[in-house]
Amino acid sequence: MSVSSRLLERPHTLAALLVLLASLPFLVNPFYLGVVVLGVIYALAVLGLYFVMGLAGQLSLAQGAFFGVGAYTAAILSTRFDWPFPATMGATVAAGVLVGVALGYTTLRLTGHYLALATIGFAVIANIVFLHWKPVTNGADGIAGVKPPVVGGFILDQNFFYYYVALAFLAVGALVGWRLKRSRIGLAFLAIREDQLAASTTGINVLNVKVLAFTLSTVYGAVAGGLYAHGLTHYISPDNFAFELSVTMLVMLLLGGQATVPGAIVGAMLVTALPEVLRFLDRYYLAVYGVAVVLLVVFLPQGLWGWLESAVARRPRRLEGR
Amino acid sequence: MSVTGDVLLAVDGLSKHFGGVKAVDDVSLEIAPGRICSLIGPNGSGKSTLINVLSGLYGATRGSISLLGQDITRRRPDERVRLGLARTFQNIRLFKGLSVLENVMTGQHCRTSSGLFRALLHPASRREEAATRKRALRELEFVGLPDVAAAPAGSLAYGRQRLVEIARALASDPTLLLLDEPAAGLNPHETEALDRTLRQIVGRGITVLLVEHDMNLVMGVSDHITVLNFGRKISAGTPEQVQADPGVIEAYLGTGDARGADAQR
Amino acid sequence: MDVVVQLGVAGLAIGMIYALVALGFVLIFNAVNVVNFAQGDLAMFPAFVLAFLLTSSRLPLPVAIVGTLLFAVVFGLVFNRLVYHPLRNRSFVPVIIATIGVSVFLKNIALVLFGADPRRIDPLIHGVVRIFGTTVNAQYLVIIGVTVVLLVAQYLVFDRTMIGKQLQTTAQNREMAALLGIRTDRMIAVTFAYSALLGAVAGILVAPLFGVTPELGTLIALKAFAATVIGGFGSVPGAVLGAVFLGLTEIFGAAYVSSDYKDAFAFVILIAVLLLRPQGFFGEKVGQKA
Repeated sequence: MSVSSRLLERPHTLAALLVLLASLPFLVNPFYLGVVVLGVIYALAVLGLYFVMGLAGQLSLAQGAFFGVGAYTAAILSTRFDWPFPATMGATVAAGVLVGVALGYTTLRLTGHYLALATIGFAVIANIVFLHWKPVTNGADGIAGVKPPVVGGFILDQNFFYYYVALAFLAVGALVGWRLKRSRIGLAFLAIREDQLAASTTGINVLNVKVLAFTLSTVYGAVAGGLYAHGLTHYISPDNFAFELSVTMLVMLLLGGQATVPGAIVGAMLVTALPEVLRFLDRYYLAVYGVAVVLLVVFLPQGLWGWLESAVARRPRRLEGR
Repeated sequence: MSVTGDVLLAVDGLSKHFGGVKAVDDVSLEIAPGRICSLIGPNGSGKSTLINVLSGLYGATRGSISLLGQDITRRRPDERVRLGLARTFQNIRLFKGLSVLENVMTGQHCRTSSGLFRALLHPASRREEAATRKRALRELEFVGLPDVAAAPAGSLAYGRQRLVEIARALASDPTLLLLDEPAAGLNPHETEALDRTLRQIVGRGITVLLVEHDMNLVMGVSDHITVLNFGRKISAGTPEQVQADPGVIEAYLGTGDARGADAQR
Repeated sequence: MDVVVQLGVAGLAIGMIYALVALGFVLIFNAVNVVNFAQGDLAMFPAFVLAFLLTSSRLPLPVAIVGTLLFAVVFGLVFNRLVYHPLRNRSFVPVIIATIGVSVFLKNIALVLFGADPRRIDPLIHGVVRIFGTTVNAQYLVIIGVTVVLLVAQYLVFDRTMIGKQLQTTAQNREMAALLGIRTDRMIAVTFAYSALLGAVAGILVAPLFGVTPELGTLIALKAFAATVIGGFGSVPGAVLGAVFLGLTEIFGAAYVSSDYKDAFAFVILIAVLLLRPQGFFGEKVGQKA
């Protein structure tokens, strides 16, 4: 595990990326605007994984399910109770905190794979609940007609405008992730990733810090899910939040490089666009995708950025002599 | 041994059993502040286990530990650090992927307080981070490594990694520092430097509990020595008293393990 | 009473299927300390292979079964060589994700090659059998019988033969095994091959009950996985007993509580176990070591 890549740690890189994202709707074919919106929403969820997995090194396999929890929270409050967009989004934060704290404190007491195990369990249960708790979730039919946000009487239901709503959330999320990594808390996350036992004997309350990282991930996931429900087709169903989504989000993080904010965002955007780019693969797309995942972890352990950097830069590394 | 007010760490009837194995068996000892105390004994005598129980990695099977009169037997490792008990590891456990400076900065974690929201919103957190950084640099200077702050910790030579680990422990403002075989793997020159560093640490008012195989170092630097064998305390006293104790000599010879041979390990 | 016997036999049979897949998890976990997320698909894919050999190639059943098992063993070896081996010195996270990649690949290549419609395979033995004064599906008894024989054989091989001891030593302490002259890479390859074989047996046995779909593996794997945690991760008897327990819970729960939530019982139990007894019922106490 190396010290994370230098270029991506520069504030200019993040600023440039956000500017690029802000101009993206003008650069892409309007036909693909929906894909870009989806990419930004997924990027926010993947930033959640950046905390728990990239920084704190804990494998969570239910990011797609947390996304689903947020989406259902927002959709139900919007369609049944007519809550406006800001209120439903606030509720997604609350839902994220609730799930993160409850699941975190129960499973993160243990080292090893237990978070991975419990999150798989959660992902499966969540999907079964989405599917079968018909009075609330409407079962397999899903929930349609989730209301778009309204700003000053103007309904933001077109992808072009909704993109900027989503981007605003992503920008805030990215700045938080950026700032936090450089803070006392971020350092504690990294220490836990490197060596939990040493972290505890260095004075870090490992359980609390891990739960914090995990809860950040569930909140980001749930908020992103809320954005998903309010935009695009304004419709959600259990299919949108299958286990594959959790896997895809992991892949997004790994592709970008685990421990940087720009990496997480770029990884999410690229993987979201992948089905469009690889449309010629047709039915073979997902099979190829599976192989690509294996190749990715075997050949690009530092993600795309890490690989690009070491391939392009090749600057001599300043290593300590003896 | 001494008046209670003069005791920094009091260990009373401490045992740690793994199944049927009594790794530490009914050990009592007291450590007075401002000294270097050492813990010696043949391989497998329970020294490392005792250190792990003291620092909270293992729960005690029986007995109690108190630090400055406060019972810490059931406290978590990080709570013990906050109360002033820091440690290093025999097989160095640095955060290898982080820089040397970041490693030492983590030591300050329990002395700083910026949480999630303060880190995001409050400028005081920046000041705190700057202070943490400064403090970490000072500790690196203290152990004689001012020039490697930016290097990845895992890239340092072995002896230097040990010093970084000591700096990390010092950054947590300990009153008692547990050092688990700090001289293991050091060359004679580095060991000499370690000897000086130990004295400087005590000079800062920090008490040291040293687990060590290098008898030259132990006998030269210690004010008080406790000897373990098969998990039990078999002797205690000044270096002279311990060296003259026939039980201690037998313990080392009895395991076919002369001092010199043991020190080389 | 009749119903209880019928449900009991069905639950036991389902439990045995979970047990076969759970054993695959445990053996690989013990050998290389990684959870193989493709374990369920190692049951699904061979089931398709069998269906293909039977229908398209019209091979006789015994030949088709042998062919399927051979396929599984080869697949296990290739899997080890191309996926685990290159990652063997990395942390567990990349390995787990690579196995997830394999799972996605197998599921979707199955979808492309065989389609989404369930494929039916005729039961190995048709009809029903009378026991305890009631009739039960013969396939359930075949499942239970084959699994029990396989478990006994596995026990004997692991406990009594040289290769079994080498496998165990490798699982317990790889460095020590290497020092003893055991070719640990080869033992790990054998473990992967055998786990794939167990998966294939599970797939062959379950196919006549459910019909084969690309999703078949995922659900079985998740249940089997829950079973290993409930039994105590890493414990062979724990995995088997956990699996049987889950199989029975599921069948009786579906009959008497709710069939909608049949698939959720396993995970509610899983989370309860993680909360109350995280080391599982047969596992060693989980803790940190210095």
